[in-house]
Amino acid sequence: MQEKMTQVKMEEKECVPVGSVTVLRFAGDITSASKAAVLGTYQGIPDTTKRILLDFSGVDYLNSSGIALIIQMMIAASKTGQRIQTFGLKPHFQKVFTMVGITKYTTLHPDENAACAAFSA
Amino acid sequence: METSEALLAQQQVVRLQALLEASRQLHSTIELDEVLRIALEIVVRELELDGAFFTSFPQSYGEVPLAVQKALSDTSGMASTLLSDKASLRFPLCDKSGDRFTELVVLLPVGRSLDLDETDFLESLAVQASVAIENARFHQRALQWQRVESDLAAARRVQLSLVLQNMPEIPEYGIAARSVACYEVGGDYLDIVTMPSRETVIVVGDVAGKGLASALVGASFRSAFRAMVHSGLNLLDIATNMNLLHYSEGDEPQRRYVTAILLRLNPTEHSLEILNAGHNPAFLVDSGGGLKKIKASGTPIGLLPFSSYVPQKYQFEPGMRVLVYTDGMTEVFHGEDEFGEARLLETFLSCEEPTPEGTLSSLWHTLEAFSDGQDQSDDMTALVLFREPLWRPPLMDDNRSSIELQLPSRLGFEKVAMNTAASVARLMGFGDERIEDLKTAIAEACINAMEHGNKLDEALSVGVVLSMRPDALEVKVVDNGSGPAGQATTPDIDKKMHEEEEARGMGMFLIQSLVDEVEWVSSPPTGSYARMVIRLNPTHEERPKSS
Repeated sequence: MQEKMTQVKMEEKECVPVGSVTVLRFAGDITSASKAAVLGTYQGIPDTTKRILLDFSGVDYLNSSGIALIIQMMIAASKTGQRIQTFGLKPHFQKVFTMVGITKYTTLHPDENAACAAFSA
Repeated sequence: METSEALLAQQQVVRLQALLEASRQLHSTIELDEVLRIALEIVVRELELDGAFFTSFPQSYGEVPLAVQKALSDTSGMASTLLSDKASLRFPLCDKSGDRFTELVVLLPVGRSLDLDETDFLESLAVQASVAIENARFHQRALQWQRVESDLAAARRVQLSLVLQNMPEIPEYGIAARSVACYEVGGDYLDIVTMPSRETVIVVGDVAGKGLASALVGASFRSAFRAMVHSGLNLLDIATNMNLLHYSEGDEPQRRYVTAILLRLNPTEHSLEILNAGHNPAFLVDSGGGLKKIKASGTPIGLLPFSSYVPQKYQFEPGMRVLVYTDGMTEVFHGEDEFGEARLLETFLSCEEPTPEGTLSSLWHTLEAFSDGQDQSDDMTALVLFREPLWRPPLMDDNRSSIELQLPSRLGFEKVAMNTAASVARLMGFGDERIEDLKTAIAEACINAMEHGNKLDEALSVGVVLSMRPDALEVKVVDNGSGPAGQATTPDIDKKMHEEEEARGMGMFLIQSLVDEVEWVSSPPTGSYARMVIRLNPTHEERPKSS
């Protein structure tokens, strides 16, 4: 079986009023096979970036190994003093994130605008 | 001379008519007393004699002093000399095979003798009376036999009412038994008692001998056994006490000793304790075909005033099967050739029937084929106990059906199980949110089975059994490992973020949070499984936590 590869697109975006934000747009599956896509992509973000937006709108399947990779990315971001806002998670995965407790370290927003606005809070 | 000849002929005709009439009367009844009375009455009245009687019956007719009847009935041969003053004549009555069974004795008035015609008449009448008496006796025996038969039928009804009507339902186990008596009632004994602790105590016994007497001993054994089981005694104490009790009842019960196997199943701990008291060996077969014969550890119950039984305890692994039987199952003959223990074992080992009932039918079928219709010579009883195997879906019934998948231990294939379960759940009417919960739980269970259970060895497969029940979907995910080491723990996100706890290791927690019921069952060396249940209408307490 061919696993649905993790696709990730990195882009810069201006969020009013805070300024530049790095957006990681994920699509496909996030599983134990997504290490390069998640952590590798994160490592490509310069330490000078202070704001990261995670877009999960295109994610169909996310398992505990995938969540572990997200947590590892958040640990690294927290070490470099980067703030992370999240949006686009399907309701079921919002529930799973909440169960695991990730919501203590990143807020799950209903859409991109709300997530952007949260950086100014 | 012509006149006297004519008179003689007339007299003969009259006698003949009398004989015909006597014969008609004798055969008009099949009551023995009636036949005897009619015969004697005809003899005395027709020939105008003093009296008559039969030597081996108490009835008499006419003047027959008791002393005379007694003396003449005496077969010692002294009678005639003692009673020489009284003229008497004897006519033997014989059965079909020519054996004399009684004599007709007639007493003549003083000075009277019998002419040739009269003796002829009595001889003929004796022949007729023999037939009538024999018929009456057959009739009497038939009546007695009918009484015995109806007694036996009543005993059989009582015995049947004591026999188990329903097999107990034990989760994860299957049990079936069959007992066929050789006569109306049997000496084989089978009983199953379910304890409040959910333990099940089983006995299969064989009372020495057959038929009603053995059935009576079996009924008394049953009462004692049940009382002891309910008093909470262990198998060793039950067998030891039963032996003493049975022996102390005296000679007759000692002759009808009982060979028995006692079993105690603990379905929670999956343990089986077996005690064999002088009985044929039980067969315990594991899922890999490994065999243990549980042989007698002591003498039959009630044979000796002392005993030294040794119960044995086994872990009842998934897929294990036990056969307990009485010797009627091995002592089936084809001509001179006995079926025997080896053939019975071979039949049991090679039987691929997935249910205990099917296994019993298969055994009986094999025995019938072997004996080629020859009559059963002993009571036949067999009991089969199964523990559900890991690789087979649970036993189906009307309200339940199963779908089974086998996946390679390669990550990504968990989605096959996930999507299949989602389709099944949708067909069963689960809502979207519960379907998502189910998908995640199954995916996590499959990933654990592949990674930890099967160490990602692609030669090993992960089994997924989806069992549809009216109210719930049950999912078993089976692997070849020894089961998870610990319990599901709630992840501590702070520790994870501070790298004091691994980022991974949330699978079991997610499963536990998302389904209504979950258990991890370890059954090395055959494998382990996670069993999850998701209900169509979960009760409030059991509803998983949600955001």
